[in-house]
Amino acid sequence: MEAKKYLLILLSFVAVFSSCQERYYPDTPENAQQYVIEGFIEARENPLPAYVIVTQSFPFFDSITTTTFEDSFVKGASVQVNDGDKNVQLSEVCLSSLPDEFKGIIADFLGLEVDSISTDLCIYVDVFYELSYETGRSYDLDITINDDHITATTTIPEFIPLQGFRWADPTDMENDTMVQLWAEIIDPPTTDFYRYKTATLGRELTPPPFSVVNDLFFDDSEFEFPLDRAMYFDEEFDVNTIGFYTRGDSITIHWIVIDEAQFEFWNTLEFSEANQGPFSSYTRVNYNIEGGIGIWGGNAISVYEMVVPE
Amino acid sequence: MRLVLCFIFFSLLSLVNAQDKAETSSSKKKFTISGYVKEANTGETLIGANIINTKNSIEGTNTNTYGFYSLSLKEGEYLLLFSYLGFSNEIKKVKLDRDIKLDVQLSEGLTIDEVVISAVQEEKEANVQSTKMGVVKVPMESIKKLPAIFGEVDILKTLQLLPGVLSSGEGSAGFYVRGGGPDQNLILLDEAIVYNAGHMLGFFSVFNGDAIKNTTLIKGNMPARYGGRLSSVVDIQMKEGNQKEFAAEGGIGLVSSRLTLQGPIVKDKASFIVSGRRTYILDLIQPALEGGSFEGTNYYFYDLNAKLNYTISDKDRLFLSTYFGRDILTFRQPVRSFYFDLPYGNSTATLRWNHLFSDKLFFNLSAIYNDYKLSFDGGQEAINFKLFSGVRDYNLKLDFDYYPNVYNSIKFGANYTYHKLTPNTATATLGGQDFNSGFAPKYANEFAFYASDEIKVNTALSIALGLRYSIFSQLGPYTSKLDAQEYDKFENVVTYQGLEPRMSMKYAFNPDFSFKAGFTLTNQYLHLVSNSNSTLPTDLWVPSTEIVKPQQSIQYAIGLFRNFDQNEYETSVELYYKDLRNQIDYSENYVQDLNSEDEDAFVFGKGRAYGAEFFVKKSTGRLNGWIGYTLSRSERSFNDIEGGRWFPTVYDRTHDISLVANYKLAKKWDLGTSFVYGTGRNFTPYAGFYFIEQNLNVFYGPRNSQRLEPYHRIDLSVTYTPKPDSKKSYKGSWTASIYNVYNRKNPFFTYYDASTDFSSGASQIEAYKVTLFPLIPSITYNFKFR
Repeated sequence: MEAKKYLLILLSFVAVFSSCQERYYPDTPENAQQYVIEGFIEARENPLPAYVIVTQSFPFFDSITTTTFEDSFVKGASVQVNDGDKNVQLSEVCLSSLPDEFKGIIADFLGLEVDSISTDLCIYVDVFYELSYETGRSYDLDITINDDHITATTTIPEFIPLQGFRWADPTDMENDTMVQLWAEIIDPPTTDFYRYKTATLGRELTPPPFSVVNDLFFDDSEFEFPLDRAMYFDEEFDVNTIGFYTRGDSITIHWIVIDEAQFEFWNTLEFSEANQGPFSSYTRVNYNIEGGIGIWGGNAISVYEMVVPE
Repeated sequence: MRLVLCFIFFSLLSLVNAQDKAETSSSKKKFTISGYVKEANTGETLIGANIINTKNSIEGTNTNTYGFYSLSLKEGEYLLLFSYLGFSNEIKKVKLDRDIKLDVQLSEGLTIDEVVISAVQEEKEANVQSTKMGVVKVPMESIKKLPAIFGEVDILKTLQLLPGVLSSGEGSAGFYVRGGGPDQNLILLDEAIVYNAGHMLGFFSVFNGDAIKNTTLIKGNMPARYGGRLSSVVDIQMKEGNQKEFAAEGGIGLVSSRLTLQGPIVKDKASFIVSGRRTYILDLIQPALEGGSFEGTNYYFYDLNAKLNYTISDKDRLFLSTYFGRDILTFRQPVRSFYFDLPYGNSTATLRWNHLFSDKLFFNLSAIYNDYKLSFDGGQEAINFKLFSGVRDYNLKLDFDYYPNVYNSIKFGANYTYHKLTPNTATATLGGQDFNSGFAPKYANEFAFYASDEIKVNTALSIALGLRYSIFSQLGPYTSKLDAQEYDKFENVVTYQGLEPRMSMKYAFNPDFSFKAGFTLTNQYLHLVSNSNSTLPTDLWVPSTEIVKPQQSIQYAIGLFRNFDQNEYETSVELYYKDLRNQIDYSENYVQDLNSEDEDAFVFGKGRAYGAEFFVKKSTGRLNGWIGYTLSRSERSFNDIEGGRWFPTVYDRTHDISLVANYKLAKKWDLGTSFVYGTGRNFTPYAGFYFIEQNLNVFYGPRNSQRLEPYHRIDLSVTYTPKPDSKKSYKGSWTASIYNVYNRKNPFFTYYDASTDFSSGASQIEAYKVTLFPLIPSITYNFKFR
């Protein structure tokens, strides 16, 4: 009798903790292909030229191959930017038209390995720096693709640089190879929006999962905060070291002031990505693009290069 | 429209008064018999017991929430029949030549007697003869015999088996009524509002069955004494405590155990009841966590109910009841000192005074306090974060029940509530710097005045009229978000008010067959807006403010009610249509952000819900139970969501079927089963991918445009009572349940994953469903001691 009772209890426990999963086949959602715009213009010392990448979205249940990204590029679009003083037609720069030494630059720009690119990618660039790259200036984007018309506007805000940095040993850890970075900012009385990226371990700049913040918590004040290292997508997650920098590493930090529309875009995009749990509702991303989706953003970038102390 | 309804209301009222006056002047003098109907063994009052004149069934009444009745009849001799389903009937011979006080005690079990059988039929005819629509009383004893997941008997889960009531999710005690949201259900425990009725993310309700006397669900025409919610009322009364002798009962289950003690303080005059329940499933694994990565992590919940009552005199009674429940979640991870504590729960207290001004006028004064709070305290290393939110009410109610004659049953009263609603208030410490979200609580006054009359025009026609007038004021301290105006403490910020007419009628073609129709207008001033697919304890109650307007519902319902085979079978068909206004949702771009208040992210729109409910019930005999089927639709439209397109809500279930059966196999053996089927829950699908900064992102298709697979399962239970006829003071029984007998893999949630063919390098998105509860056996031992 006792054995039976314990067996029943055991069965219940096993049942509770054995929730199972299996594949199912939902209806295929309506295909709603959209033009996707990713364009930036920046103000800083030696800014990159303004550029716009035009791609197309693809259906959710389509097969994703190695060429999906490359195949999504839209060629032959007319892309113009007006900086208030002049209207500039961005040049369509296709890999096939570039000498080999420039292909690597464009591939780096897109985060791709040049040898792996099998199709001819094209982006739209202010090759001759005809635009004015200034803070406080607005930029209107105008794209025509066949009969479709896409527009957007952005502003490069004023610079708000970081005031200083401090390195701190992590608490509760015996690990002496890692260190935490604290940064200080004097936030002006205006409503401001920030984004940042870090380049570490000899790799490219990358943003953290939550890369933007507004100043509601620290408006018009002097404020110190931990500036976490952004992980790379192929790094293994380690709760012990997340956000910490490796001692002796040479790092670059881009501290970017953005306008509200760009903040809304990243804020909703990053929340939407992080909030896809089973009980979550969906969040639609706030795009600042009319006639498509994506972002046309102006960045005021303060660049910091330093070596993490041993 | 409202003026027309008011005109109709007062016209009918004056018509009936005129009829009554005419009758009074032309007939013999009238006298009143009044008193309480109680359970013989325990002295507990019986709610809704029937009292009728055996010679003329129109001359009848029933007991109110406190077990009180009053019946005024012409001078003469009567055989009055007192009945209550599941109890033996009492016939009292009464010579009415003066006002009489008569308390009647009924015993459990039926007596076989010709008159008694007809009385039982009267009781069962109530579904046909009453003006009430969409009202269901659920006796606790029936609930205890039904199968229950983990053996945990749950009132709210039983309500989900009724037509028009949908479960909010697998295993959840949350429910939706007739296309309304979870915040549109008024859940009362001894008149105190319970703001969060769920434990463990809603898998269990906060109501411990051992402490509950009576549960009434009103999903249709809400009487005027209720207000503040659009969809339904779940009115739960706690037991008062055994007036005759000391008694204990309890149960030992896999998940929790419970114990109830009750007894007289002064026999037949004062009694108490104390009831507790606690889970321990994670306590049992604490030794296994010692020294590990999660040492100190635990979760449990508990409930405590207590009630005292004291009969001061024939005319005065006092009741004090309280409830206190908490969910306690503690998480500890020694690595980088990550921790959090998340306690949340309700507390309520109700002090009531019943007074008889006369044999015809019953009065109740209630002072009610209720509080729901959630707090979070967590951190890591130099970072500490605290969050607090809650609702607190102070409530005063005056209720009068007036029984001028057998044709009218009048109720009127007033209600005042002072609300304090604390939004998510966050404080943080970051490296020695302190931050505060700075959100102040919101305050409000809510008043309501009501009057209603249930009028028996003749044996065929009855009409119930009600009118409620509600006023809601947001109070200071407050700073306007519209014009930055500062408001001092108690200063009025904005006021909303409205007349809420309620009307229902019954026309009986014969004693077994009637037609009913009803109309109900209700306003709702407090709102719970959820941004998840199920209700979570973190969801916030928010008041109507200068920005958030009150929700409003107008419900129209008609129904046919027919009993067969000498009332052995009750059947009904009800059709309803709800017009919902000022519905609230989060904007589609909502981002959870402690820097801004939730109301800043709200959008406002309209809704509609309509459906047909079919119900067949057999309430007596060895085999009893019911079958319900609901065909329904629930939709919303918001200008700020997809340009106002009407979309189905997550409460929309086209088909919903439930079957419940109890079978007395033998004296010692009871069998129970239930079957449920529901159209799959809808959701917003992913429509496609796009690249930004070389990352793959998704975008969504139209809201709620796809559905999960249908939900269905069968549950079984067996109750074994070794000594059912034992006269000993101790009685025990075993209940074994199997949840999801045929192991249906109902989707609890779905997710997507990419499968990669490494030879071609191609990836394909695949959809997976996760099933939470497969076949689950459980066993519970219940005992009673007196």
